[in-house]
Amino acid sequence: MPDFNCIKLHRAFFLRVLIFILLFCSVLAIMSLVLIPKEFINSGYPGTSAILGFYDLPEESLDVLFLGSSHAISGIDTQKLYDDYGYKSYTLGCGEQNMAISYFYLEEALKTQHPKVVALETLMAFPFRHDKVLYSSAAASEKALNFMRPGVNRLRAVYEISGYESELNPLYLLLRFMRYHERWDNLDEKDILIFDDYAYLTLHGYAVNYGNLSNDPPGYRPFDKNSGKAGELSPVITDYLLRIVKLCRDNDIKLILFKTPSNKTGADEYQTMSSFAAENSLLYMDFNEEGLYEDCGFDFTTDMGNLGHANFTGAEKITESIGKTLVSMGITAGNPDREWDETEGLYNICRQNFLLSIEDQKEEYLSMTENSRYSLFIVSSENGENTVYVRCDGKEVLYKDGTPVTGVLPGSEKEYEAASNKEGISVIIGDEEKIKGNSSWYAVVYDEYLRDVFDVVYSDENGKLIHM
Amino acid sequence: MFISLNYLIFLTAALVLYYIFPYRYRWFILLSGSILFYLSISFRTLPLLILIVTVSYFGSLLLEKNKSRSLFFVICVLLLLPLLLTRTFSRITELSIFAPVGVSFFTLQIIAYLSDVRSGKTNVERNYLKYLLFISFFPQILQGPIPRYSLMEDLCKGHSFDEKKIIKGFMLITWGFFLKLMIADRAGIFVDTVYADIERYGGTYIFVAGILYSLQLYTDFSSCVCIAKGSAEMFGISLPENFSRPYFSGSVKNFWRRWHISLSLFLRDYVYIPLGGSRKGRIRRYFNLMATFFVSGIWHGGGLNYIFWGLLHGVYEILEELLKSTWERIGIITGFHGHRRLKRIINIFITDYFIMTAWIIFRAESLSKGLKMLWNMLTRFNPWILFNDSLIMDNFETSDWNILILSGTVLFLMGLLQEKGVNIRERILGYPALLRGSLYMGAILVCIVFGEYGAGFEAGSYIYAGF
Repeated sequence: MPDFNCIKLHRAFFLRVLIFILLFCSVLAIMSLVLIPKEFINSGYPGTSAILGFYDLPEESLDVLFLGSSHAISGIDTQKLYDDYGYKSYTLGCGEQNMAISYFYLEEALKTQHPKVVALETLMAFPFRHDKVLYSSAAASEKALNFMRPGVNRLRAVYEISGYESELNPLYLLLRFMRYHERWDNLDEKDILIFDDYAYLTLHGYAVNYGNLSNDPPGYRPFDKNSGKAGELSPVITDYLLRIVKLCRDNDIKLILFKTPSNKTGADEYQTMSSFAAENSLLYMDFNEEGLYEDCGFDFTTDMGNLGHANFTGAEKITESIGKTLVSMGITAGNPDREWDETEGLYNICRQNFLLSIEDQKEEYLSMTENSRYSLFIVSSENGENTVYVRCDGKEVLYKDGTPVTGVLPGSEKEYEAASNKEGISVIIGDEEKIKGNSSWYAVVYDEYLRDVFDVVYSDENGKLIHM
Repeated sequence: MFISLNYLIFLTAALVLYYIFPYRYRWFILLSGSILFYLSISFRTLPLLILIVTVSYFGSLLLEKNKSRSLFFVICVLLLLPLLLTRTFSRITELSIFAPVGVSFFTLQIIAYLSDVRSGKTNVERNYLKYLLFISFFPQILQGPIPRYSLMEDLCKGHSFDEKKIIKGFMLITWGFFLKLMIADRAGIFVDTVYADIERYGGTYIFVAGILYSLQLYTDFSSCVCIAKGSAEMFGISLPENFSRPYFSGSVKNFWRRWHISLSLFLRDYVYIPLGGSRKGRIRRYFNLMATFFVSGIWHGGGLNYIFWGLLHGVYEILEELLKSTWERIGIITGFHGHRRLKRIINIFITDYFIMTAWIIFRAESLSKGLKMLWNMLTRFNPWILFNDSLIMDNFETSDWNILILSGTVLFLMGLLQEKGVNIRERILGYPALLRGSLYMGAILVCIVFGEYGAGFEAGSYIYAGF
């Protein structure tokens, strides 16, 4: 029979071992956080790290929880929903969020929140990547799981998702320092900023898309609601959808399905999802359907950042429509909350940035950049003059002989260098060469608040600004 | 294999079970663990291992009773010999031979055991399961060290829990991980790149690759031995030493007293001495030496490059002896003879250079390629690559060089201390607990962050596992 006397006799030793293991695990956990790539942090597109911000929400504060892919992240204006309707909402989304991730994120969310409504964006219910069971890439699942807190839910998520995705190593997903240990050579301030609230400064999961399609209008048309033919959802997707439905029912939460405007799904998908919604007595809102599209006044050319994602004005329109629907469903808003009041400032910054990003007249553009949080770098080579203009940290420097200008960006350790000479014109921010070329006029705008380069433009032969 | 999280979990579980079971059952825990370990690395070949152990077990029983022991022993060896030649045969025929993992090591172990039974040096083991444990003990079955029968008593004893041995074993395992992840597998990247394109990388590139391969092979093999010894030590079991800082040798003869010691001793006791050793005159002794190194070459794989490598070492030893007095005279004329330390350093450099040249052939795909590389190294003059950025490659960047040089320096300093007789592990044990804990944690974290490994903490396979 086993005899545990050995452990009793060497109590002190085993206690020391235990302390060592605990300390070691703590150091590893911190190391993992530092080593995980922070691709979306501080970049103006806080998609995949949205779950970090979610964990910081006051408990039981949410009225509406949005789940879904990047289409939901850029399509739902959580600030507008609060400002106009009083609904405190959060988009717990991530790039290519498959239905399994949506389900486990919902489980995770319900640990601390009890929203009245969950709205699930349905892009990933249909083949996005045809060779994948869950229709999303392994990398997308990995990124989505990276920042989930350790616990049984994360273990289940890792176990189930790696079962469908052979490229995912469950050990990697659990012991993340192993996956990313080679990144020690590429760490930068973003990796350390993980411990700073600023790092995942988001508009409650909303990431503004600053593009528009005016320069290249697509031939998009919304479809008639009677067109298309209902197909079958895959068994795996159906299973996760049903689990989401059940979880919402068990927790007395209303579930809405929605699809933002995009060219990724059409009438067949609409019919398929409508059937599923009808079978489960759910509301389904597809903004690609002509009626809804027209009702919210959507214009694919000016309201889309690209063919899949709504831009700032697009998100406003979709959100307005969802807000009205929530009111019509009798969903009452909870009390105002500082958490949502405090993001008003950031929201206005995003609005200003959006307006800047669609401006194509040079004079207007330059006047809009006259804001202390912008650093402006203009390099040009016109009429034999090599001009370098830098406005940064309240100072202006102008050289017309191509003398390079160097310095350090405010609120950052990053160095910059702007030059215009015989070799061409260039602007380097940190280690990145933001522009290098021989065109006549370039401008780079650095946003101190976002701690990132916000916009790079050049002027075409007609003097019109082209945003890169 | 050893460098994996699975192994660490397995080892921890085996240790817990070993120490919570009563003393008399502890050897059985080791046996169960060994079988489980073997199953996990080579499920298909376990029956073959069992068959070999069973045959040799009954062989030993018959050998004990049989009057014509020598004849019977020869029959046993002839039966086992094909196992040692599987790699050679596989190389010649280009066929994939179905051989148990670790066959080259445990076959030698069996031959040594049978030989000792024949000569009466040891008693025959009658308990089949204990004999199975002796052959299959998991820390040593893959790459040795090749133990003698004296290990049996240690294995079956049932050791009591000893904190000191647990910590010392842990230190050795950590050191093994350091050698493999920080040095061996990283150096291997550069070596593989150069060997993959010898037309492009000639001259000094080959010289650098030769140095790095010498380092890689030593740290790779030594890592496995450290983990094996460390694991065994945690159970209170002592495995024989296999390395004693071989690159600090001042002669090739001395090198073979420090490199793969258990194989060298096996070859000495069961090949060199039975052939007559040094008892039958100088010429015969040289012949015996060449024959022994020939066997060593065959054991390493049987390719012509391995045989040439073995014979080259034989030639080195013979020349070393023949030129000894000339070398002494040169020392007296040039004046370094009187400076013991300088003389030793020069001897070490010369020895290591010749050993490195032999490793270049050893590592090559074939003898002709190896010789071509040697010729290229000696005739293509491009030492400037040491001073510009040529040694920095797409897959081997400055950071890799930095880690390799730093880790190599740590290895060198540790070796230097050990050469001076310092027992590093004992010294660390004397440090205050907080300092010790920090040292252990620092060492593990360094391996985790800066180590060269891939999926699931799996490092590349061990080079010697292929022999």
